[in-house]
Amino acid sequence: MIENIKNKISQIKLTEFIDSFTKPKEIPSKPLVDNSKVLLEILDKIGEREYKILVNGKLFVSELPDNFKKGDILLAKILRANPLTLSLINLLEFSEINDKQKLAILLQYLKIPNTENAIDLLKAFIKLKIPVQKERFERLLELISETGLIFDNSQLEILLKLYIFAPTGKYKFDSFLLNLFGEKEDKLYVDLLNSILKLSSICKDETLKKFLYEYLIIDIDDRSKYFQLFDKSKLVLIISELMNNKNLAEYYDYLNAIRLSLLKIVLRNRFLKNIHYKQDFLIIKNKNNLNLIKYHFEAINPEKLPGVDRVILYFKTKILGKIEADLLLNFDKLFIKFIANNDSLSKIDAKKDEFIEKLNKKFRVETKITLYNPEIFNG
Amino acid sequence: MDKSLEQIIEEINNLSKDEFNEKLSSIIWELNKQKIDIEFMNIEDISDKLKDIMFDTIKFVDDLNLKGEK
Repeated sequence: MIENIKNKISQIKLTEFIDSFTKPKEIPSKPLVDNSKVLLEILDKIGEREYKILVNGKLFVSELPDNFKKGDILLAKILRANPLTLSLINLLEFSEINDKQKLAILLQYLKIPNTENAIDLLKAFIKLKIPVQKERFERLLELISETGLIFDNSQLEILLKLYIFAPTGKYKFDSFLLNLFGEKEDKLYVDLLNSILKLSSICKDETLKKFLYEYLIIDIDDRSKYFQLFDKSKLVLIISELMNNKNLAEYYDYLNAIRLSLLKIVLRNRFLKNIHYKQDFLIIKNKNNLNLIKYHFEAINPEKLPGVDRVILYFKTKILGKIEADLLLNFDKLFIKFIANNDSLSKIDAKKDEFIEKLNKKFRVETKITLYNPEIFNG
Repeated sequence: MDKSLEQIIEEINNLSKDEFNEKLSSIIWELNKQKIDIEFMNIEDISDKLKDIMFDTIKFVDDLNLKGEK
């Protein structure tokens, strides 16, 4: 849904009109200058998508792609002053998104105090190309500040998406949700892995060993058993059953700790489902070490085209940093786009032909891999 | 008598969607005293073929990462 809106709000054309009745008399007109920022105020909704809008003291009519109400105030960038053309989403260039000074200036337009939370939240709005509607921004900022927690950029982006979709009524955007996502993801997974490591080091029971080494810790080349339990909520139920087993009483606390970490992941996914997003992990045994791979994925096929399937994987790796892999399967054609920095892309490039050959042979597809560094294209 | 792991997994795999959600909700309640309606992303939305390709891609990225560690 956001994607559709995004395309429509990159350029909004407005038509000036004279209506001394609607226009508040106390606001003087100010000149409109190319590339400057302005606040636009919704004065009235006059059609399905048509609004009367006040920009710098001048009245306009325009179609807007989203549903706004009278009194809403939005931040916009003037793409062209004549005829007036605005963008509600491309407020900053890609290279400016991390520039705190530029973000602080935008906060001044909104008359919102310059705080660390406000700067980071504004960055998330701009990065996700969500129109900055003042009231919505202030409300979310207030909710975040009330928790007293510090959210990093990726946490804020997820919260913002959840906040935007909350009005659908499928869930409440409340303190429970904020606290659930307030725990740093890295800490959550470190706790999980440590609990599993502790249990595997002391475990003598064969049933429990089997559970650990066949279902919780996987051999990535033999996924048959793992696929049965792809959904981590099943693991929560299995652990609960194992906790009732009297023979396993001495492992109760370890199992409980694993179950709690898993439950947090499961609960987060209950909310993330609404934005077609899932956080997941694999614990892989590699010689004597356990390796936890954390990844996110987004299932995207809004038109539900038959034979077409798309998933985006997000990795945060120790050595290679952040990598995105956008996988699009169109019948027997597989397109993979790796998005990363130059160092990681060169490593992928060196091995990509081997990977293509493997995929083509194993899945009988025709694979095309492209490499993309967003900083080069946008910077 | 305690159930075997296979019995437990079979029972869980055979639960209806409502039974499954009810069991999970009761665990959530026990731990958080929060009533949460359970509704998860339907993983069946992603085809098995793409799911498998996902895992191979995860392995590919992980191998590259491990090589970088050495």
